[in-house]
Order: sequence, then structure tokens, then C-alpha cells
Amino acid sequence: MNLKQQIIKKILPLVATAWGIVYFIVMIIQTNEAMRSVNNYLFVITCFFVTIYTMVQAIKTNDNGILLYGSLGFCCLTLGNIYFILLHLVSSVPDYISIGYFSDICCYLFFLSALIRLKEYVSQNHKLINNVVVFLSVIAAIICLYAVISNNDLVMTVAVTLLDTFCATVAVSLLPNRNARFLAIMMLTICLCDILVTLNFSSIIALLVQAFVSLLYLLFGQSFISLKVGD
Amino acid sequence: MIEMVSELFRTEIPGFVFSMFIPLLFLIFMVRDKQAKYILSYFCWGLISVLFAYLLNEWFTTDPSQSERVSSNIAPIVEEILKALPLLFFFRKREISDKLIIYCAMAAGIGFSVQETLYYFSSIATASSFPQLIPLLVRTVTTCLMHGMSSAIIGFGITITGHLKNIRIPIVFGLLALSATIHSLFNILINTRLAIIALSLPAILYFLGMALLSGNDYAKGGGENER
Repeated sequence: MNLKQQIIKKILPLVATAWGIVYFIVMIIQTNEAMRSVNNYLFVITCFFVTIYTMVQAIKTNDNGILLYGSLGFCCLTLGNIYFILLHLVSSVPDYISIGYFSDICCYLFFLSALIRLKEYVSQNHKLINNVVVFLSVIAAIICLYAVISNNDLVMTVAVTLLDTFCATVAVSLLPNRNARFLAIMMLTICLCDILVTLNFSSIIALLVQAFVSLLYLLFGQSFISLKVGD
Repeated sequence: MIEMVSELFRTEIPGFVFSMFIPLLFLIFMVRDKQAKYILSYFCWGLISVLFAYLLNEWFTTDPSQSERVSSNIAPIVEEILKALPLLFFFRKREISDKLIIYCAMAAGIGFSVQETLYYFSSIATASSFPQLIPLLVRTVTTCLMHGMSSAIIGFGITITGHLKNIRIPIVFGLLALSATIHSLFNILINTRLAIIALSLPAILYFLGMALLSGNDYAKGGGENER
């Protein structure tokens, strides 16, 4: 393993883990807005790095499948987060559901597509179920769009939870396959964390997710790269 | 709605649209090359879609709770959907090349931007010297690139899912969200101190698109590849 691969596969996740632990401890002791801002910026930098890394790999390998869909998903997620940072910089943070959030949510459409594609590689069975899940996820995305236009928080929460559920369902079906297991576990973890945070189950869980979100997405990006299936 | 249509006809937009659309329609009938026909047709759709975008945006503005969000939230979604609508035609057409789909998508976006820029130019004072014209030219180039690239993104989604019917719609929908977000960022940032980001984002997308298309060409052996 060369230095670059060592940095990406081992050192960055270690640094993200260490930061997560420090952040969690500090925020448990006393809420610190400066730390929260730094964490948000670190998350955006992580997403940006994962986007570039996966996109470059997709272009280098001329991948028109799972890796490309994954990189587009990260692209959506990164743009959604950069949207808010840029608005914050020009002091124009909206107090309504904005399009940046919609972009954030739509990353799940790409991740779901990548999972469905992977599922089709693994097994040609359950095509009807796959198509139903895809159809329902598009409906959920349209509901999201309606929530953005009408600025309806409840509808948005329902749509986000539905999208997470569909992704998690497909991820669970991939767990038995050894090649897809890492990706499936990461997708499942991210969906569960998102559902718990969206539905506001517990502030401790929300804090834990906030602390380790950069690590989660780093590993999620790695799970796409390490997948040895291509078009 | 009737009032909005009347209001629309009181502006210069219908004049701009039809003064370009009708001559181009003649050109479409005269031109023999199929690819050129496609590109010109999508360009014409871009010109026409401004009318529908105006009506829909005005309709949303009538609701006081929505009016402040039109430029940043609603207009980008409405405009991107309208520009991308005729791309649905390519869902069934298997013999069309990937590059043509992307060029048609760009043509729709650029047609839209032509109308928007004309309307913008007509609503400001005429520049009396070349230096005064420069900001307008910069604005024109970046608006054109932004609209063109945001539509091209959706065309790109159609090309990468050509052989995958079941996941085509979620991918294209996701790219629609991406396009609308880029459009929204452009609208918000263009009049702020971060205007340089709004101005450079379309250019970055353009070069990224060229890199992706060249990468595909290189992988296929350097030539045009008809599907």
C-alpha cells in the first residue's frame, strides 16, 4: 500500500475518529458553538474530498455504473452543504426549507440507484421488488420537492424518512453478499443515523451522529472505491 | 391566470420569443442534417419555455408566503424542469448518440438564457461605451454557461442510464436537484460579494463536462460513437 493509499484508508479515518471523540466529549461537557462550526466545516471538507476522490476514480476507470452514481450522490450532498456555507458567508441564511436541503436529500436517490445496480450484479432475482422500491423512492423525492415549494416541515420529514427507509431496505438485502457487505453496512448506518436525527429521538444520539458524521462519510466513500464490480 | 397572461403580453418577452422562434422554425425545416435539426429544435424549446416559466413564477409570486422564495427556491426548480421536459423524448430513442443528447440539453438551456439575457438587457440603460458593456458581457457569458450546463447535467443523466430503465428516473431526478441547486446559488450569489463564485461555477462545470466527455471519447478509441 503506497503512502497516498495509507493516508486515505488509515490515517484520515483515524483523524476523523479522534476528532469525533474530542468533539463528543467537549460538547457533552459544555455546548461550544465554535466547535460546532468547525465540525460543520470539517464535514463539508470531508464530503468535498470524498466527492473529488470518487469522481476522479470514476473518470479514470471510465466507470458508468456504481462508482459514478456514488460520486454523483456525494456531489449532491457536498453541494447541498456548500450551499448553506455560502449563504452563511453572505449572511443570507434562509429561515425556510431551501433548495440546498433538497439537494442533500436527493443524494439518497443516487445511493439507492447504486445499491439497486449492485443488487442486480449480485442476483437477478427480485427485479419486481427492486422496481417497486425505485418507484416509491421517486414518489418520496417528488413529495420532498413539494415540501420545498410549500415549505412544509412535516411533509419533508416524512419524505426524508421514507427515502432513508428504502435505502436501508435495499442495503439489508445486500448484507449476505461478501463483496457488497461493507457498502451495505455503511449505507445502513448512515440511513439509521439520518432517521434518528430527523425524528429527533435523542439529543445524545444526534450529538454522536454529529461527532462521527465525517468518519461515516469517509468510510462510505471508501466502500464505493473498494467495491470491485464495474460496468 | 388570464391576468398573468395579459401581463405577460404587456412585456417584451413574447416579442423576443417569437422574433427568434419563427425564423428558427424555418431553418429547422430547411436544414437536412438530423443532428442540426435536433439541436435547433431544442434551442427553440428553450426560447418558448421562458413564456411558461414566466407564468409559473408569477403564479407562485401571487402567494405572499412564497413571493420572497421565488428567485432562490421556486424559480430554479420551475425553470430546470421546463428546460428538461423535452429530454423525456430521448427515453425511448436508442439510436441517438450520447453527445447529441447532451448538446440538445445544452441547446435548450442556452435558448432559455438567450431570452433571459435579452429581457435583462432591455430593462437596463443602454451602455454608452465599451467598458460599460463589459459587465453585461460577463453576465451574458456566465448566465449562458449556467443555463446551458445545468440543462446539460440532466442530459448527462439520460446518457449514463441509457441501458438501465429502472434507475433512470431517480438518477435524472437527482441531477435535476443538482441543477436546481446550482441555479439557485447563481441567483443568490450573483448580487453579493461572492459573485465570483457564482460566475466561476458554470465555467468549472463546463470544463468538468468536457473532461468527462473527452474521457469517454478516449475510452471508446477517440471517435464519435452512434448508439
